[in-house]
Amino acid sequence: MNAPIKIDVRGVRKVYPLKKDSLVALESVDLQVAAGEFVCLLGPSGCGKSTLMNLVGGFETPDAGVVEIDGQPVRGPDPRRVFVFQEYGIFPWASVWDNVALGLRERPRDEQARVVQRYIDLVGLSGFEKSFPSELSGGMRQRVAVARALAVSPDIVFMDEPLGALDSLTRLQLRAEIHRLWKQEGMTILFVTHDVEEALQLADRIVVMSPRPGRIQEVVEVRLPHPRGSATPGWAEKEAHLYKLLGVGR
Amino acid sequence: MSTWALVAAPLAVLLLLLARRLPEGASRWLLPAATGLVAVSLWQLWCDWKSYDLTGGDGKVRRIQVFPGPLDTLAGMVKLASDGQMLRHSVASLYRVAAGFGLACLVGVPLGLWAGWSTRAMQALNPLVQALRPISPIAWIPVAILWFGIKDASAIFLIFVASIFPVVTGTMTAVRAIPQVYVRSAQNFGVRGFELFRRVVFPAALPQILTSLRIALGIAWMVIVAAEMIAVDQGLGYQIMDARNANNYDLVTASMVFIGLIGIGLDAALRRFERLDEVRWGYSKQ
Repeated sequence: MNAPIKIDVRGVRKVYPLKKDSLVALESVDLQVAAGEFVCLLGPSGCGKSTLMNLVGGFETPDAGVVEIDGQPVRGPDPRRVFVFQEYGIFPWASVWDNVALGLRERPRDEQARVVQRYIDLVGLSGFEKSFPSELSGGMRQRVAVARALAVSPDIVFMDEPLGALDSLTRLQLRAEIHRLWKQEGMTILFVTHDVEEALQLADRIVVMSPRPGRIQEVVEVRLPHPRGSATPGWAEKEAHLYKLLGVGR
Repeated sequence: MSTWALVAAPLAVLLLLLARRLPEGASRWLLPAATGLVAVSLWQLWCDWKSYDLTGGDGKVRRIQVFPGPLDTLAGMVKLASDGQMLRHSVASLYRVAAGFGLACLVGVPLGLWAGWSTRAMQALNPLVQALRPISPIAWIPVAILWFGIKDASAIFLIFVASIFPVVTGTMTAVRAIPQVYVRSAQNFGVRGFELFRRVVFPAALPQILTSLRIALGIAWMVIVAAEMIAVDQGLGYQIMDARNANNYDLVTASMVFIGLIGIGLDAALRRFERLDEVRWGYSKQ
């Protein structure tokens, strides 16, 4: 890794109180992510991958350890690091245009218009500027969420199973587009998924997590040339290794 | 007596039984018409059953009708509508409801937004609201007279009292039901303070707020008769009391029907808002 460290997580622990005892969502988690890197957090439900992302994103605070971005402790959500949620993240009461403009409220009008149009075009929603989310398909809605996130030129984009609610064809299509946008814009991406193939296709590194308590099991370097698929040399070995880590016999 | 009712009721029931076979477009009008016809027929038959013969001192037998039937009511409605009384009384009532309900919205929606957003505000406010809510508006009449005298203000106050609690409760519930992901994504993009309310909390809760306003307006309109029992000299409630005192029961039922019809109109007017793009998402099941 030659790029400077963007995200630095050291010794992080996160506990949620339950009715009687408590749930250790994360236990002694260490993770460094370089600027411009695409990192997938992979694991079954309840392994703490979303919790880890919420900590880095500033929506939650660790009970122990430090979370730093660019050497500064994370104090809260910040428009320079934006989330793309699984669904419902965009506002159903606002048009596509107004949704994408959310992060650009304080820019001058002409600049706002230019940027909004650019990102609507970039995600392939030209012509749908005035549409409302309820008039769009699930895939198109997620494109709106991506455009809204990219429009603020973020350093980091957090994607919490952004393709989880989509049908498999749309998922493949959007996966390719996320890769293209990442190449083009060069931001750091932290991407939560429980889909091995998705992680293999997108990530530079895959952080495999295990539940109870949530911890990092292994960090797998992918290092395969793009575009990747099951025919890419080396894919099968990585895939087998990941499934083994996840405890799924193949 | 009223053979029409004996014919109409079975026909309407037959129509209702065939409901599944009716084409979509026709059923929208035919079904409510059939239900209405059944109700009106039963009303007529009830009147017939309750009327009796009385032999007068002159030996003539007269049919005494205790209760005005649908046709008498219709005649009463025509009379009220044609001599302009209807319009005058409706305008007076609508003005009071608009004032009372409008005030309830102006006070209740912000209070509900606040109590829905802040747990502390809810803890402070909710028990009082829930304690005041079940008190019948009629119980407030003496209080209203003491505070506002025998004037319009008293009636407006009663309508305000009747409608503010559903508005506050409905708005509060609506805000508490906002999915966290909306608030989080707004905060993520640096939206905070009043802007968060204007851009996210209010629009996210708006569909449910509108529903609670519809319920509250229905209650406000229902209370109009009670509110106008205080000695005002116009309004649909006044008209009912006045007609009753003059023993014109056909005008009582006529006014009742007018109140119902205007109620449908008010609800339909509020429902129009539900079609706007900004709130439509909140009602469709996708």
